[in-house]
Amino acid sequence: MNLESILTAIQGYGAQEAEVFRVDSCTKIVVFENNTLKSLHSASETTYRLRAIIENRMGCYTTNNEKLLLPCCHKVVEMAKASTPDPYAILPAGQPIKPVENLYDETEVKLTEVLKNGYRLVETFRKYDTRLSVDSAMLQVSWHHLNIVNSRGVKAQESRSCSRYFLMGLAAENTNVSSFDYRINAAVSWSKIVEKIEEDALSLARDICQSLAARTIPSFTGYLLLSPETVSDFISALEYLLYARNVQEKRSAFAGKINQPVASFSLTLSDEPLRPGLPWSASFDSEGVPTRSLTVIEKGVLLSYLYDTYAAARENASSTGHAGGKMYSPVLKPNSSLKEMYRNISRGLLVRRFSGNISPVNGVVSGVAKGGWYIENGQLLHPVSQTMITGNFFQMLKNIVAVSEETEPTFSGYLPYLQINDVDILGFQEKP
Amino acid sequence: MKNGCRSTTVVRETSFRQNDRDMREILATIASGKAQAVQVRYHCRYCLRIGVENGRVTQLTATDTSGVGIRVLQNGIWGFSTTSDASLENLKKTFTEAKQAALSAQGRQQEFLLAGEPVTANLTVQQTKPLSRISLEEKLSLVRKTEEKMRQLSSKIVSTAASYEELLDTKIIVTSSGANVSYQDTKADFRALAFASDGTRLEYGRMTLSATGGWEELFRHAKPESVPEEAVRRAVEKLTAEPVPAGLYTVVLHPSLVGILAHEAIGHTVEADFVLAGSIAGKFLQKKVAAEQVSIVDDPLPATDPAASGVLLVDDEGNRTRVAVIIENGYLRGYLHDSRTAWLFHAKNTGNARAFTYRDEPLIRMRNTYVLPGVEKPEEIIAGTPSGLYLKGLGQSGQADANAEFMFGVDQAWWIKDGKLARPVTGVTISGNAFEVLSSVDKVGCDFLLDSGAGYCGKHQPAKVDAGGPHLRCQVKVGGNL
Repeated sequence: MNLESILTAIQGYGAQEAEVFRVDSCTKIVVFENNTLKSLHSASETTYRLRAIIENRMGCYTTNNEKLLLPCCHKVVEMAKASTPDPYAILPAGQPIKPVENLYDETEVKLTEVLKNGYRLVETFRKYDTRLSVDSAMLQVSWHHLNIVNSRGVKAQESRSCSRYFLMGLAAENTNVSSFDYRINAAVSWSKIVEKIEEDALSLARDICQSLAARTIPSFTGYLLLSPETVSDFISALEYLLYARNVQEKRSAFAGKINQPVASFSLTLSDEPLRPGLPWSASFDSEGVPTRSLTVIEKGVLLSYLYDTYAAARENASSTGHAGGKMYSPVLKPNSSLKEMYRNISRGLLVRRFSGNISPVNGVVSGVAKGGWYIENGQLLHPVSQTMITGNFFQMLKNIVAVSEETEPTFSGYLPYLQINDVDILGFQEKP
Repeated sequence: MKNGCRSTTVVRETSFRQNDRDMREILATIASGKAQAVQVRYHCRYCLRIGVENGRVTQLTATDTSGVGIRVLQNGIWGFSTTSDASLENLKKTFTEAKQAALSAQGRQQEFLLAGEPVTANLTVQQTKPLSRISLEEKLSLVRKTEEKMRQLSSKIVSTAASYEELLDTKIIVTSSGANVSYQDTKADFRALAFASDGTRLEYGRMTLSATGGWEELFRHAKPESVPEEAVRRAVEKLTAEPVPAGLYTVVLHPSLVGILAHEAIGHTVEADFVLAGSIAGKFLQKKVAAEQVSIVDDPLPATDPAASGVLLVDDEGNRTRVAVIIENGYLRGYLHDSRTAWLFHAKNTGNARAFTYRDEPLIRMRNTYVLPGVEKPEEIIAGTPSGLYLKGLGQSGQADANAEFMFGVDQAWWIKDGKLARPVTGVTISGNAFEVLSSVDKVGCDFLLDSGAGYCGKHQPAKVDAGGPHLRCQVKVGGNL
């Protein structure tokens, strides 16, 4: 069935408005566990998400079974009828969408090619040092074709491809076992990801081996230097605070703070979904609303929330193309080199991975620094163990002193290092 | 091992529907394909989600997905291919893809065989009042009432949300090892979330119920009316909580946190795939790793709570599930296995291979992981503690490493002063080495509760699990103010 005929079918069951979102996916994955190849996986699937509105009541139904599509057209209408009226339950109107360039790599990649490069990833890592061990690794290439239409004129399609890997390892020397650490990388193009494999595997191997000699430190208040992966935890907390639905439901501390300072002058945060050639980019969201560049915090001042169609309707505003409330490709404006940041740290802690909680509700930040390094007078002195970080997220935002020019790939896109002042760092070293 | 025995009370043999029988024949044809071993798993899932926030229905969604995952073992490597088209013709093609995938990696792997007890049965979990017989309107009405009640309970409540989720799974697993099983599984969650503010600070309280089974199983521990009251009470109480100074504390852990300790800090380290990768538990088998009072198991069907969220009647390789004894009287006794690691370790397969959807390959996952009860009355453990903290519920999240170092956020915490619960405290996280913490245990309660079933465990794919135990007293590092 083509999408228009599915729309017609939903409306035929009584829906006043309807939407069909189809995603065709094809994926090839190799998985390694405990240093050896575990499996090779190929998958293909088509899913349909249907939405129907009757008298301001919305229902949603998803299926991957084409044979069930017609019954599902009926079921989604029944779901809508069972709901309660909500004047903001609307579908977006159609808008022109400018395609983002280079989001799709047509290159055919065979499973044997994925396998060969999976071995490269794992073997490069392991050959660095006999103490190293791969906990798990994954190399994946996927292609997605997205099509969305609705009864209000939305009609959009885009093809996206993503090649990515994940490598998690540890080191062991007698009973001295390091923390887990990992690297990820992602690219639209297969060839671009392949060329990064050795560099990332070696860098992870070095970091893990160094963390074996970790020592406890005494407690102090000082600078925190967050790695890009740790910054992505901060970004997740910010996304919660910025999502307009959370603001409207009075569960975000950023409610009522537009044009007010929420962070230090050093923080300028924007979302850049239109940058060509990045796997996090997209020209429209899952409602078919065009995405756009959006500065949410500038020099510490809150400028905008993230809106989907529902949240926008509640304020008679426009959706920013953020269905789901997540940013595509967060960008933090740099104001320092990493070298300069180190130089300015008299006493501090580099945190590569944060095993803890950052509560965007009450602001409590508490957890363990993993792969952490003690810094004194600008020098990385030694890795640390049993070290916790504690503080308040809202205060930490105000204590950001520097954002690095250097960025690294993370689950949330390319992110920089952040330097934060006046953070309580808890060591469990016995006092002499 | 009081809770180590299997119960059969929730297992019900069912008659096959015609379409199930047809599917079983198709899968059997595929499983007989030429290869060292073949596992074919059909999985159909219906998922219903209802959400109400501040008086508005914000989620009313259903997802209906089905498909087949085929694993082909050839000389030490699994090829895995999945498809949403379960026709015989397409499954033959999918089988060929899986086999070709396995063959493409030949010559580089350590070969292994599969160990397990293949199940031939039609199984279904007990649903005292099946979820499918409760109308959508009735479920929505309960969620709306729960959300509305929270707004009425306190003037400090500024935002509320309630939700319901059900997973209705049908699986048919046929393997070349001899498994031929149909499995009907249902799991449900009911949640309430209240945000309270005193004008200067915002806190939240939540209450969740979870079950394997039907409507009565879901509300077996608490009536629906108590859910909003408890969420609101927790949120409002936190407004008065003060930060706690960091340090090493004597703590009494509620069963909800004991379960998290058993699952996150111990359970993951003894998953046999983690052990092969270098988990520290690999060096401790048959060694003393905890106080003598401490015994921990991973149980597919707890006799004390046969409606626990992690109930698993057959694993996703079609093998029988059995109790895995992890720690017995302080000694590490065994690991959690699938068919491959059981063969590699010369151990009994515990049936821990689980896959969340047909798209997922079975991995070693926990089911219901808990500490066995001791002899102390919980109130006497608190009364016998001059100074310390009483800790309850997992906060935002918890994590643990291969070296058994863990960190958990704590949802609710109170001072213990002179053997009595005193003021609430906030911002508590606990951390340490799990084996050291378990070695510091000096009191084990005689009570028992599985209480983490509303959450999902994440290990490349989600899994519904449960965890718990009795009250415990031990020493942990608490992260707080300097």
